[in-house]
Amino acid sequence: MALFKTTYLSLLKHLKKMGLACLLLFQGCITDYEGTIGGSSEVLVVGGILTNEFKKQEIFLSRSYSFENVGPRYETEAQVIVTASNGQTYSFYETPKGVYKSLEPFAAQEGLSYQLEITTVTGDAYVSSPMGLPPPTTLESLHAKATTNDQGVSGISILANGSGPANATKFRYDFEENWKIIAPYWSPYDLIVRSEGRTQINLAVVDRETEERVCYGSARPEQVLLTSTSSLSRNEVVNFPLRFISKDNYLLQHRYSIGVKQYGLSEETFAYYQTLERLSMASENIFSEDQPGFLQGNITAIADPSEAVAGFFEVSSVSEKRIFVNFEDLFPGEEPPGYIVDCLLSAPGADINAPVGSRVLLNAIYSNLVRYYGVNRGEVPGGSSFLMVSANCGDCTTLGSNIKPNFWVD
Amino acid sequence: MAKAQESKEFSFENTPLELALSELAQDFQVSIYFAPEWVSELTLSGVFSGEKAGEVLLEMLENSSLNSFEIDPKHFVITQNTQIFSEVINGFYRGAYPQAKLKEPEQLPKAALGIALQTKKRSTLLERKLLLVGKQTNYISVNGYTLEGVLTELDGKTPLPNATILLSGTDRFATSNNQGRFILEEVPFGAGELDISLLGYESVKQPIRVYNNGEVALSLAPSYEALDEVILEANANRAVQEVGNANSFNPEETKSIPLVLGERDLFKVATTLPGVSTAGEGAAGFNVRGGKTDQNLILLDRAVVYNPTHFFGLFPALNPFAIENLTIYKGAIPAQYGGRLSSVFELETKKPNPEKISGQASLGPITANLLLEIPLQKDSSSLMIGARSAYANWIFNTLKQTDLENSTALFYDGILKYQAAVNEKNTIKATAYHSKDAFSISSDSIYSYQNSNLSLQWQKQLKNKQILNTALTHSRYSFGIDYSGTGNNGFKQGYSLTDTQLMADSKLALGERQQWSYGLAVKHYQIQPGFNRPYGPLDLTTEVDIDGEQAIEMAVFLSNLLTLSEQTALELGLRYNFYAQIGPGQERVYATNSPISNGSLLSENPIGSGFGQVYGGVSPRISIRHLVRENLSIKASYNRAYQFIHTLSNATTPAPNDSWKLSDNNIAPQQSDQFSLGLFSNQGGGTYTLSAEGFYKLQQNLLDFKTGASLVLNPKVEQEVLQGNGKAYGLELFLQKNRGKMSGWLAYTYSRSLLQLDSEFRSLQINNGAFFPTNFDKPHDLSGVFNYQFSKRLSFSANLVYQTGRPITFPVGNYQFNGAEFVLYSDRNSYRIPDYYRLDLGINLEGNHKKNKAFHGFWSLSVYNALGRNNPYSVFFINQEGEIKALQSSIFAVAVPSITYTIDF
Repeated sequence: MALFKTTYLSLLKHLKKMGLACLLLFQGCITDYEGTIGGSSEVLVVGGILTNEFKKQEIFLSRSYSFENVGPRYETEAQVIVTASNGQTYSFYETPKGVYKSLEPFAAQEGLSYQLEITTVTGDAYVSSPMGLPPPTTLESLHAKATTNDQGVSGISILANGSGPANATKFRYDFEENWKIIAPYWSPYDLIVRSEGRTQINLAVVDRETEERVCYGSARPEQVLLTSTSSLSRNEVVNFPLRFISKDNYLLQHRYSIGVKQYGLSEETFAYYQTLERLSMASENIFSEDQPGFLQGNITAIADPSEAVAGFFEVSSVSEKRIFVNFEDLFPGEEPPGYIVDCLLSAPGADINAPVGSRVLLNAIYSNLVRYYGVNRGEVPGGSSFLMVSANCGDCTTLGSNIKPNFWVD
Repeated sequence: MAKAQESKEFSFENTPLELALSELAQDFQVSIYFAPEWVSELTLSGVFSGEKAGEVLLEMLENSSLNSFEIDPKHFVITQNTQIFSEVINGFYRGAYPQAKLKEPEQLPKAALGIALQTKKRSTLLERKLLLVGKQTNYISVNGYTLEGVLTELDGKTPLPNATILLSGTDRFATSNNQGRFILEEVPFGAGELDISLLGYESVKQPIRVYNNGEVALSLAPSYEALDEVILEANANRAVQEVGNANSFNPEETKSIPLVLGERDLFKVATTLPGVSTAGEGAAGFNVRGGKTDQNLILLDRAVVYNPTHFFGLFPALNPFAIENLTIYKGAIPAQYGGRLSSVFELETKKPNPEKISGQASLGPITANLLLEIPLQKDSSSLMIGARSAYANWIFNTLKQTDLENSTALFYDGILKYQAAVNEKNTIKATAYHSKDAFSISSDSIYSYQNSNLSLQWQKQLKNKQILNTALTHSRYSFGIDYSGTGNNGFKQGYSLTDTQLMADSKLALGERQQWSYGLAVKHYQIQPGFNRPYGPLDLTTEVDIDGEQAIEMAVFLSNLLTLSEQTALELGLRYNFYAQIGPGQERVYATNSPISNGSLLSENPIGSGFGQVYGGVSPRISIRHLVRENLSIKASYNRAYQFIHTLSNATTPAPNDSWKLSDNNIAPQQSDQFSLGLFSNQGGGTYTLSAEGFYKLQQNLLDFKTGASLVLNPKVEQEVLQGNGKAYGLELFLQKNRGKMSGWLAYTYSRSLLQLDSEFRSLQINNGAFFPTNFDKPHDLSGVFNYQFSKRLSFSANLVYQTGRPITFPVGNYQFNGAEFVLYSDRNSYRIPDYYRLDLGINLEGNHKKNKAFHGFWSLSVYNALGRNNPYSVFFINQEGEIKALQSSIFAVAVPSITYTIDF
């Protein structure tokens, strides 16, 4: 079913992309919409998962934002309390970026239900519906397998196996993947512009001060990964496909790691994620748009229950695992994939005779397009003496972080 | 003058009656008076004998509509139709018979003069003398008589089809067929009047005097302003006089309305009527008085058509040449129809010409169409074959984009009809219809859908002029996707629905004032809600086969059209509906204290041989008409309907792959109660028709779906369904000019259509449980159709449409949740797309009007969307490099010209 679904959707996306209605009617008829799109009231957005891990639990508060804005405005100075059904209350304190942490570490317990209460700085009070902790599930194993996908592309699949008691049949997976990046044209030196005048340019080759050779890239899933075992005879998730990486993806060049969290969800939480996922997918219907709408979570404004509140207060069990993958383990004897881009060496001139602002080398340095690689010993015939390489190839921080994740094992 | 005592014998062989009469007069030495035109076309064969002139004369006239009257043994008068009774002779009137040229006028008896007096001239558009129908007998039938007639041009030969012959002061009317013939049933005894109207001809009020079943020959003179193209002329009188309020027209009448890509479309004309609209070009179906598109009962010779459109709703799937008549009921729906809430679109196919081979053919930019009518047995049985096909593939071949070179789009439809008069009392009709659409956008996928219908109708005349109609119909609708795929992911997916119905109904007139109709219908539904299979042996697609569902729907109905007084008539109808799910199938039972979901699923039980879920309900259908003046009536109606089958569509506009779902224990039938009140008037002697009608509709259990519902191949679709209350109301104004060089109509509707999806569970509420506008709520809707006749052959036409833009749900911003960005949507339908307007222009050129030519040609040139208005069909949003961008799609962003040539032969 899952296999069918993905192929079906990819087909539909394909059809949609081409603008079905128009092509059938021989007029280019997808145009920019010139009408007005409504105003955007800033809706309170609640995030956060209370888990059965003993830790400082976190709640995220922010506001929705209009399309012109890059990111949200975080909700500050709110009072956040979680109340358990046994009368216990947990207070939260504010940290940067809208993250509220519990004063004391605690773990959600089975048999209790938890309710989130928020009072904003303006005095508006919100409350979640009470959420119980579903029975804990276990992420049994995680493995990588060499496969060929639906489209006939070969690569590796990351598969998860999970299990749970009979009454815990809803699973969500979340992961963070990391991969090692080694800048192929890294040099220990940098070329910097000390000063630039009308008739004088002062350049210097200096030691690089930061780590720019070895970095670690990271990414999170692009879609909500949900599965349900309720129609199966045994409550086991078998080989759930989390991620497919094609064989020529640079992620696999050196070493790849994926850390997976398996959440055991309540029915209500599962239903919320399902809708969230469908709303963000392409329309299933090629003839018409699927009906979208505001997705109401489990948070209600006490004063005005009709107020829109986005997000969801989730109480879920969690189980996690991490694996490392080397290309040669899965494809022994085969050439690992190349770097993310083809690297080009150049030796642009400093153009001392050109006016300020028109000097190619200097402009490239200023705008961080290139990094110094070495002295041009004829690699670029007719160029200046500075052998430069595109920034991607000489500086790994353009692609990832130079801080080694603390779980990383080489 | 010798006395003639001995028996005389006369022998004739195709002798003109006039000659025979004069022979008789000579032999017996008597005078016989008659008007020569009464006898001029009659001939006589046989041997007649007798001792007296009167006896022989009686014998000779026996098989004609002529009567003889003996004034005295020497003088006889022949009368047409009228029988002269000796008792009244002396008391009769004086006067002169103005038209009859009698042989010996100076001896004209007084009695004959008296009869002639009845034909006093009447001031009608065309002055007419009284027509006498039938031979008078000594008793009067309470059930009235059957008046058959033939309507011709003044030449008396060329038949005039499609004329409306209305019995004034009643709602009985007939339409002349291709041979100009018509039949009026239950015409009361005595004086009456026929109202005859036909486009392009002078309207006529023909006084009649009915004595018995009989035949009349009528002719019409072309009107000075010959107007071929007045539409809905036939309704001019009906609108005021009928008790209900149906709109009825035939394709011929609509042929000059500007076309979309040259396709004549009755449905498009229907949408110019007040209260009928579509979601936009390319949206399948109609919204009638704020109802959903699945609430229309579309019948083709009584069989349900589930998808009456080709090409995503752009073209009608029914061959316009094959259609005799389309009748639309949107308010007072007669009791015989049921199962859908909003309207009935009843399409009747033509009776194939049983006399000679005839037909129509057309060639347009998208399709070619041919319809043939073939007599099998002269005057009793005939066949109609129609076929239409699109040749749109060339469109794709001319496209520059390489992506689309592999695209194809094909549609066709065919119709076959057999009609036979088995004998005088039995007529059978059989119609088979098939339509198919198939299109592929990429070389590896084919989408298709098809309708197949079969209808068998048997009309039997019982005693007392009762007619029993029995119809057995079968409809099938299916659609599918075949995807060959790129790897091993190919699949075949499909859906199918069949229904089979047996229906019998009859009408019975009890006296002058009561007309009963009654009947019953039994229908069986079978649905295959969806399957998915691997396309080829190598495909790994998981097989899915959703359990089928079956149900029966039964109805008995009874209605009585009561004439309370000259002014007031009342139609009381009652329909009892019964619905039951039957096995084999599955029934899922959910806990009632929580939303329907897998979590609240208590048990899944098989439906065995008995009934599963059962629903029943009584639908009253009441309407009343009161004539305030002869040309002004007021009408009111109340209507209840139930609907047991619903489309599953999570989309904002209807589409051909919307599947139908039967009511079950979790999905209750939809219900509607409608009240309407209206004023109907004719002005200027029928030149103008005006109406104003208001309606208020309350609906229950309307189907909608949770936000983000997934309906494709969902085996437990009830978990996605929301049911709520609907409310629609509106005022419809209609002005029509029926005659003159300039004709047409203007329809304006103000209406609202609102939906409420409320629940005790927050997750099942939409817009916090408040009423909100439906996807097809368009408060202002203005349509105009105009026609200007320059000459007999050249006319100009225009359509104008203005509608408020339909409601839409917009994204209003973004939000971050769990580290990802999501789009925040507004409440459902809290915005509107821009208003829709469109102007279409057309020029129609008729071939010459010479008689006896082999065929009649008709050119129509049209420009659809002449203003080139880029009407948004939908507005959607894409994420382009992290920015949400609003795009609109439209079906016709520019003016689309087309040319079509049609021939009638």
